[in-house]
Amino acid sequence: MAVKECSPVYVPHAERSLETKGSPAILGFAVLQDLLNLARVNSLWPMTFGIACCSIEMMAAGMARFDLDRFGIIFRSTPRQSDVMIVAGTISHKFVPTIKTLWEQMPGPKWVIAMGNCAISGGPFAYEGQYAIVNGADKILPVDIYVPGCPPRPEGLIQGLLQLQKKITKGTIDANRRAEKAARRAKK
Amino acid sequence: MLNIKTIDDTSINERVYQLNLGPQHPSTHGVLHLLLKLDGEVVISADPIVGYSHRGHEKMAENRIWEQFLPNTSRIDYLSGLIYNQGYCMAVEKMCGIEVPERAEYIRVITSELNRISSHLLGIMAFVMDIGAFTPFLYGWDDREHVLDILERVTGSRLTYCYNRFGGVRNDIDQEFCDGTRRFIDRLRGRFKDYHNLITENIIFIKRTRGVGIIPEETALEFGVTGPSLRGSGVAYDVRKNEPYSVYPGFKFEIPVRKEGDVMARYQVRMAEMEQSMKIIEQALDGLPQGPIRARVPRFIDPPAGDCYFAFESARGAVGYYIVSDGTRIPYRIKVRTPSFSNLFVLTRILPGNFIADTIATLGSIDVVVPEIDR
Amino acid sequence: MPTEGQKKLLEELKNSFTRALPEGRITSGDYARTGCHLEVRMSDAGMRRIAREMKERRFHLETITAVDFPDSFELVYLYSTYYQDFCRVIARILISKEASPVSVSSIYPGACWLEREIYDFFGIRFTEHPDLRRILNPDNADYFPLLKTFGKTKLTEEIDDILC
Repeated sequence: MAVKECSPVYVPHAERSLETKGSPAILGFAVLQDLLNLARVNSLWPMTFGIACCSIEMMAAGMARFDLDRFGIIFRSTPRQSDVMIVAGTISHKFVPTIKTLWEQMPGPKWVIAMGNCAISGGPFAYEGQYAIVNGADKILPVDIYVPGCPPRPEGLIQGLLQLQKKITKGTIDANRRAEKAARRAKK
Repeated sequence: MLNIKTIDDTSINERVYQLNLGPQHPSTHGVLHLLLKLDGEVVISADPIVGYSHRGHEKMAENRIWEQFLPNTSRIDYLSGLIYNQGYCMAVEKMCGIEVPERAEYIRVITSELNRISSHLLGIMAFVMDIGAFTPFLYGWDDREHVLDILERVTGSRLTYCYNRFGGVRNDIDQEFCDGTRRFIDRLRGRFKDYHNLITENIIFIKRTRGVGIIPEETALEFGVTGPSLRGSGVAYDVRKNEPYSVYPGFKFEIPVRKEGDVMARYQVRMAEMEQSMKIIEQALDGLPQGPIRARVPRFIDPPAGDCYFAFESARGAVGYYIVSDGTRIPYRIKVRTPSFSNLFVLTRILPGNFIADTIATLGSIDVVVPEIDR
Repeated sequence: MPTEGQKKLLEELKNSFTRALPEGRITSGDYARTGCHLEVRMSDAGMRRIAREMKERRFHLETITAVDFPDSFELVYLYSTYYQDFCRVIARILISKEASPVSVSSIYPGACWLEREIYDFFGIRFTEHPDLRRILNPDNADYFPLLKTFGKTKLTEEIDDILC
């Protein structure tokens, strides 16, 4: 039943790590990579790639009330200029070659956020006799962050993007820790 | 607009350029793929390729009991989720002969009209952004957030609702809901002045939309076009008036109709429809009766064997549920007639001969939601 | 309550259908329960005659669908009118599993995509169709999903209707 000629583009995470922290000879290089990661994280540019219902909440996250622009996140229409692919919606078998082409067109370093239950595991459309969809984006792409919900609230997507920031900088930029610290300072 | 009636394809073969508009494109409102054949900037033929969002709703319906198909209905067209919800419940109630209490009907109408307003806001503003106006997009979405707040208080969801049940609705509305809705209506009425200043009287918008993408009435009849795309071409067809259902006969509202059939006409029809929806909501809030919100219905229903077709009006046009039951708890066949399926096909007839920029304007004004086509 | 105009229209339709389709069964529908005012039942043919009659009376084709029964297919054509005196006509045409029904897209161009969808879901090939290919499933799919013999259906296995 699957589209037969496409093989999965699965890149194991170990190959994709950007630097090796342990090596002393390239310690200076590691610091440079940390600085670059800081820069990358503060201007993550996602691709406008809404497939179904979750795309509306993704657009709402970019609008005036929830405002992704304050995090440096601007939506770019072309894959050649984007860092993050937010897979928002159900992936059907007909659409798989397109997603793979878009993924390959994005220059590295690049990340994937699977937004919504359909992109995580097929969502409400996954049942035993399902013929039309792929049960989750991680069957065809290396997913970094999963944002659950059907659809997730825009705040949920923002939390996912901030979690991606933490992942890219290996814990240095952690919005949740910052918020907790600010709350504790305010209480004192 | 060029008037190219006869194009000899063989003579300009080397100039014909095939362009893929989509499936990933900021202005295709979902995963729509338009295969355009161009001669310079002029479109020779347009072939929409759909199916990238096919999730198998109709096959799922044959594997679910009647109640379990309710969440699917609001995901077919996620912008009019409550309206589709209501339509499915009414189709099954029609077949089973279930009577819905009057308060539940009024609540259904109020929530559906609020949903229609939010869908129109999104549809109009996304179309206007395709043409190039970014500011109204942000204003419209801000108003839409207010509607979503009101609906979230009573239904629990922002986008994909499952609020209607067979026999009524799930939760009751309270006084704060009614006050909030009235405040929102006053606010939106004030905002229309801003929208008209920004969009309707803007010379660039007028030049890009007047005389563009005309759907003649005969073409609309041949393709089964419904909704604002039809009302912009001079035909006053609205399921709420022609084939009334629920408590709509008790409300006074008009159907806005324009004669020109171009993109500007469809835009004006949608703006006027929002005003009519607000009128319906006000009348419904004024006349809201007391009483139960749900009829006593068995937990798992067994509709009698037979079939039924129920039509209602969503934000995009006339929707129909054709349900076939064999007397058991699991449906035999559910077919959803969606307006975007027919509305999109009209493009193959009206796009050739126009510029590619007019293609974007026309596509936006038809207001398609692609998962509705693909189901 | 049906208006005078609706009653007259129904009478006219009944008469002209009875004349044009001698082998069919034409009955008034129960609108309150089924949503249709007039029901036409045929076997194997007649969709073009019905379509021509409907086009002449300025009806539009709402939808075409098919239902898979154990030993036959039933093609369902739904027509209704935009103008005053609302009326809905449902035409049910029973065809055998190997039949190739004729397309109505020469009369109603909008039927082109509707029939493509039926081919995609059921494998029913329409003759005289301008462009019969798959529309919703991938082009190289080798299955017709909505058949009752495909996948998990009531006829192939026991569906636990509570847990589903």
